[in-house]
Amino acid sequence: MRTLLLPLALGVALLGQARAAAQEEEAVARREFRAGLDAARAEDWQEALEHFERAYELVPRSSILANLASAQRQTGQLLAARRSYQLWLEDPEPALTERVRVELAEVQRLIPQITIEVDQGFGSGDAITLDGDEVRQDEAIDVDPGRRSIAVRRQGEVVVQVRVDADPGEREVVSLVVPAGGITPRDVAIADAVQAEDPGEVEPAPSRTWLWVTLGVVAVAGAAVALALATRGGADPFRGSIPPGSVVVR
Amino acid sequence: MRPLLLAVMLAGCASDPTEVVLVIDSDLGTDGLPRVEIQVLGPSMLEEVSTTIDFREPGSPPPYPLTLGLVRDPSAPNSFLAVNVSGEDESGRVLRASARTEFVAGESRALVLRLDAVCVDVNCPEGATCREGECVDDILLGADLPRADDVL
Repeated sequence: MRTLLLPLALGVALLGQARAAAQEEEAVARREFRAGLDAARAEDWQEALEHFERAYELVPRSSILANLASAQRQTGQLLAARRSYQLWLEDPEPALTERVRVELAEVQRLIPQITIEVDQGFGSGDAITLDGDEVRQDEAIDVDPGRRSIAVRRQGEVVVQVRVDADPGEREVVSLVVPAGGITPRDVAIADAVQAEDPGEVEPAPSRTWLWVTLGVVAVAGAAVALALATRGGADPFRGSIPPGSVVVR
Repeated sequence: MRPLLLAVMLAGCASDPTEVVLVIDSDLGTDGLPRVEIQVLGPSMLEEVSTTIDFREPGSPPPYPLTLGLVRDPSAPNSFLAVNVSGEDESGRVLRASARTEFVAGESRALVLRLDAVCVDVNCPEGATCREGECVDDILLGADLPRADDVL
């Protein structure tokens, strides 16, 4: 029996330790979440983003993910925001699914796209890169807003390089004039982007961030007051029995 | 153009406010549940209401249901609303209920939170609330809230 008891006791002790660790992580996540909310209220979205990221790392909960997505959107990380919203929709208990779908559609609409075209100078051994990642020609590529770097590499070295400003909601087609095969990498040119056409420019939607406050809401005591009758007159706001009867919330 | 604008503005004034009427009810009555704490967080995440009703105090509201109109400010950044209520009976046992919901534009909807005996000492995890003795998700879509006129 003693040999059985020892592993059992050890197991309980380990379980207790694990539970204590989880509680500590939860507490830290709550602090980070609240700090994120505070930063968001102050419209310091970069700081809010960092707090929400830390909170989500500790406690991957959909309520944090929603706010993380909002902060990512506010800081111009539209691709990350889209991933966060999509991740939320994969949650087995998707909260406010329709609302998230609307947010996701808006983010999707704001994500700039760049399509890169090359001329006949582009050879079979050449490669196109966008911010260092190899991409294909004639394919619409989603990017974050901001200045993007496009290059054509030959034998591993850059022969054409352009920089394009990707604005929210814009669909850019970038046509590159690539030097013929005889040009060596030493003939590197930094050219201006030729934005041949702009078939699908979308007006950016006004910023409409929403945040959720579900993590760590505590009941707070206040003052009790007088009697108010529950009355309603036409299109007037309802007046309830809890003083002051009606409250405008913003 | 100006007369048209005015007409639109007048029509806007005549429409229903965008509001949620909070209704707090209990089968314990004011004797069984004499004290209730109410917290409302508005769309901006700020605490808009934090109050305690104690039916034992003079000048307290009439018995249950307690009601409060919550009107959305047109400048609010979104439509969300979170409400937490808790009650305490004579022996100090606690009842809690919560909801995360949203306003419906131009409509008056009712949010009913019940503090019933079956939920005494039922501690639900965050994001859940006790309903009919069981913990359920506390999210309620605005479209699922009953019209205030049907409840009041």
